Amino acid sequence: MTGSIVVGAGVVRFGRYPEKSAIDLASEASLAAVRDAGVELKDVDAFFCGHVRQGMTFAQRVVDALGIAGIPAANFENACASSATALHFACLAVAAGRYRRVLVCGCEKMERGLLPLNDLMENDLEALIGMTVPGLSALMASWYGAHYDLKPEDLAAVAVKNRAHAAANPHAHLQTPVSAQEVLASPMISTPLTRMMCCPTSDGAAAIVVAPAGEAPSGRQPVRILASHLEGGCLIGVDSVPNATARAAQRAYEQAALAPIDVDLVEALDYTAMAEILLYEDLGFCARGEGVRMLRDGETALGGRVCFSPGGGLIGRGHPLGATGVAQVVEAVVQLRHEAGGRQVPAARVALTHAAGGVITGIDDEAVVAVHLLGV
Amino acid sequence: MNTVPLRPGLFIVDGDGARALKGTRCAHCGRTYFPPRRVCPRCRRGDALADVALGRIGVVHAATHVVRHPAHFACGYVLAEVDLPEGVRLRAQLGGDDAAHLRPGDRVELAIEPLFMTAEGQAVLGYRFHKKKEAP
Repeated sequence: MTGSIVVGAGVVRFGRYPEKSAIDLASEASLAAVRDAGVELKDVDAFFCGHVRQGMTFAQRVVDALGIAGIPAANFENACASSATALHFACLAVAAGRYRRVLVCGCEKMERGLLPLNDLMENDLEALIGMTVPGLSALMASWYGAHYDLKPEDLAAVAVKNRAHAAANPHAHLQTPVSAQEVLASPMISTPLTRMMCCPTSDGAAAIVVAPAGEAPSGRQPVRILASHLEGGCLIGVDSVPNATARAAQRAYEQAALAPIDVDLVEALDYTAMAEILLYEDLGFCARGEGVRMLRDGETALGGRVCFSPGGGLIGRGHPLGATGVAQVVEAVVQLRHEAGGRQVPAARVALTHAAGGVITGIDDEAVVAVHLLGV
Repeated sequence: MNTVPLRPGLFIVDGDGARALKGTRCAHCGRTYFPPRRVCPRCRRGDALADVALGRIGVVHAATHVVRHPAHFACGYVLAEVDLPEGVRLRAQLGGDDAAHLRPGDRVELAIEPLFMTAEGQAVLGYRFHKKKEAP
């Protein structure tokens, strides 16, 4: 137990907003979260903002736009786990008794096309030699396919599933369902991954209000944060088994006194279809090599044993880097309140969110992993 | 051709007088790292690290054809994870005529060669691995 609860959640539909600034997007999501919590802006005592490339003092610019400049505000950059990291530290601050209403926001406006591995190329040898983000996942697919039964059709099936979930999510970037044939025929990015097996680049923002347990404002049902854990990636071949995601999940389960069997839905970092299959295994839902079987048996689809990416995941909802971690929690909150409409996971009681990111030379998996467990 | 290294200190001359990739080896635990490190992440100490020339023959662990490539490359390429005899797994491009046909488990050999051109027209010297030529 973290002693923290989510009392309000808001999101700006992910997509492309050439006419809006990132400050506009973060402000809209923040106002929606505050309104949903049934509190006033004057009740917010701190603002934690996750983003990757929105520049210096972005969080302070957002609180200024919200008319509450002067409160403690901080910026969190942890690649695709930026706003999940902001939430982790919000939980710690609330547990320490420091703040009673923390507004946690994630936001990003992105360039289109291939994401650079690192803004400072000289910092990373592998960025120079041609490593790419989808390439990392493609290498995992190569290794996986050499050891287990993995067909391009399986990778396509993940995209078909997540796009179908996204079609029922009014906040998703890509709301058109796709067929396996369309996924397989989309342009190749890095063999065996085609474009539709990879997440798009998106603009968007998401926000939640975090409070101490027992201090829920009247109105909405609070969602308890059962666990919050931050983990770092390790060196290839040194101590990378189990990897950072598996270690983070294990710590989170211990913190919440739960097991994978208790989890009804997962919002994880499906930056590619291969990444999602590996997450079935690394998050403890099956043994290594059994992920494809789980997928083929429909266990991770809506209505299955544990629904992965009910909001569409990164593949369908989109992936504005800094926004994703909190957007995953927003989806979990909507599901746990049983307000998810056509994508509602039946009888949802426990949700897991997993955000991870960063590709560093010599590090076996993501540089940073944040796992949260939420429940009602 | 005017060449610049990918980064300083990348190469070392091995026992046979040939250029090889430079790693560091920790005398406490015997582990070898690439690229070179100041502190051994296993021992958390930096007092026994020494430069070593890494072996030139490796085994492909995984490979992908990168079609959507970063802007500093003129075209796509095969990217791989290669296991070296010292227990180092590194990521590198595969080169040569057979690059597209190399699979996990295949043996490859280091080639120090230009990877891309700078905007100023200099060739940037890096490393690839080519299919190991087996003795007939």
